[in-house]
Amino acid sequence: MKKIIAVAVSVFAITVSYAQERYFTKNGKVTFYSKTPMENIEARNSNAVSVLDKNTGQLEFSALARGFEFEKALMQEHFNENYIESDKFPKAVFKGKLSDVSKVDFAKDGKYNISVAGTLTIHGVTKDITAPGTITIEGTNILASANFSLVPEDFNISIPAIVREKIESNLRVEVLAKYQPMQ
Amino acid sequence: MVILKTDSVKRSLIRHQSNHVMKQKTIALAGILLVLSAIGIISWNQLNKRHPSTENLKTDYSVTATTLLREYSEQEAAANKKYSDKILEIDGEVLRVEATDSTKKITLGEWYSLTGVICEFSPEQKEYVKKIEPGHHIRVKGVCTGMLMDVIMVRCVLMNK
Repeated sequence: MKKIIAVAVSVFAITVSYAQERYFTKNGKVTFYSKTPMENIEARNSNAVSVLDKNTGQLEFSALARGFEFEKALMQEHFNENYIESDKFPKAVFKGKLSDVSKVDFAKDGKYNISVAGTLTIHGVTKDITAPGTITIEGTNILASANFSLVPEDFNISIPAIVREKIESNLRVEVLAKYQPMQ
Repeated sequence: MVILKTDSVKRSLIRHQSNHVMKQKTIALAGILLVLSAIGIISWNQLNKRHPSTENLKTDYSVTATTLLREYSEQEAAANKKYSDKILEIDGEVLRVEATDSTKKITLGEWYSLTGVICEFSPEQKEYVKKIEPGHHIRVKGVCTGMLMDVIMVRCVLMNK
């Protein structure tokens, strides 16, 4: 009887502790910017979903293409119909890992500079990517941010010559996420 | 003298005619400029137009949150083709209310379901969505952007205020 209880308790303990290794958010923010003398563009998606495993450092981040909000309705339409082709490729996905997760002490409040590496799939094209970022521990929350730039043409996104000058050749991307423990 | 008179009459006639032609040309030019300006203004407005308020847009589909979620879970690609970028009116029970920096995100669905319909409200809806709590039955109109873990709607407005 005691053995059964001991086993049951250890299984329970393992399950509970394992579950606490994963963090998650449905409110991830991805913003991309372009600034030229002709036009300033900013598009934001506030509904990205992400899961972070604090033991392995594995990180997955997904955002719906149609979830990027532009100030100008016509620009958003062009983005979806002509550039990203949202009907064919509805999601942008990042799958990767925090390169130096062991140096982060998740149990203590603090701020760390980290690096995240993995693959980014946009418009049906997958590319390797590495980006610097920060992780801030605030109690049970993990705040993560990363910045990188990307070239639309790398993802087979062709921007017609007429508008090419209105868009920076390298788009700057900012990612912000506030993770909570997955229950 | 008659010749002179004819000459001066001729000359004044010619002047009158050329003035008239000038006037016609000027009116034509003004007309063209006006049309070009109108086209210019309309194009400029179209290019810079913001999103219209969802309230005034025609509803493409009116469904319950349960139905929408079922369609998406059974056949995501087909559901996306049907609903993505369309204006939906959703009836459902509030499962969760979350405040973001500028607005509220309200999740509709069935209490036992792991997935729901996340409705991100427009900041102007602030006053109307203030009093919404889990358990309430509400009707929301918004733009469907697809599904990640939940079906996500943006630019939402509350229909039963």
